[in-house]
Amino acid sequence: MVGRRRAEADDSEESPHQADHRVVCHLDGVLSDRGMTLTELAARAGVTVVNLSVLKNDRARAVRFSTLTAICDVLACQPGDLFSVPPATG
Amino acid sequence: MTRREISTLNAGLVAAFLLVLAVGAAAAAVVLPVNQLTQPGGHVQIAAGELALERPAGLPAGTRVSPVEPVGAMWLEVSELPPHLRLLTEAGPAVGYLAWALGLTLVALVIRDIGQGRAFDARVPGRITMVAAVVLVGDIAVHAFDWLAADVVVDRLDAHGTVFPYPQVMPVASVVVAAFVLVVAEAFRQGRKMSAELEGLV
Repeated sequence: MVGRRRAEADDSEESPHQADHRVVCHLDGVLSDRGMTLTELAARAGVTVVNLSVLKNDRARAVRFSTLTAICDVLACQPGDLFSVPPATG
Repeated sequence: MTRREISTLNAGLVAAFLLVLAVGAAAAAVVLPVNQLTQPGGHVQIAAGELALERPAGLPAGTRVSPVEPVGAMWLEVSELPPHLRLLTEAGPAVGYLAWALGLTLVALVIRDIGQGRAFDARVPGRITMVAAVVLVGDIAVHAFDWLAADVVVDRLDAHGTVFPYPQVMPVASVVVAAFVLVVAEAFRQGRKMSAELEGLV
């Protein structure tokens, strides 16, 4: 979990490059590949739709290992399939 | 009904009850002075001293004394007072009821927020701090107005030396309560900081 504090900002306007990390979530793509909806994943993984939406839209700041394990089990994937870190710009 | 829903409902009911009390207190704050204006006189608190339960020598006609809590205090009832003094005699109680109305409203809002899962909303610590301020300032203001009313009325009766305004002491209980409430506010402030640290954790 990244611990550096920053000024509060509107979450809806935040992009990964404005947050204090560059992790990008590819949950959308993996769900599409599996032909699964967010709601189905939420029901099968035992994670709320709200949290999955936060994750999918790159608004999450940290992910519990238990959440990551549950998602990977349902989607039969690895964490590396869900996240990537693009190179720093500038 | 889930446990969470029951908790939210309970908090809502408590908040609603407190708001009803707050409205009542606000109404009393208005009604008391207005009602006093319809009366010809008023009463103020004086120190009992050596007074007997009747009109002591030195007090004009149309006055009477009777005991009241706290021990050592007496009511000085004056049968005729001008309107502005009649209002002043009820200023202390009116301010007290206003303080209750404001404090109860703030507590109701805090309880509502907690019940709806927003215990660490940004406004909660501020509201709790305001409750502490209302408790302390309200109590001081009530005592100040009570003393002022008594002093002005006794002065009008030219009875200084015969009777004395009841001495108002520092409200220690209010200081203790306000200090405790400030500690609670700080706890919620710290909780908000911790909550902000966890924001975005899935």
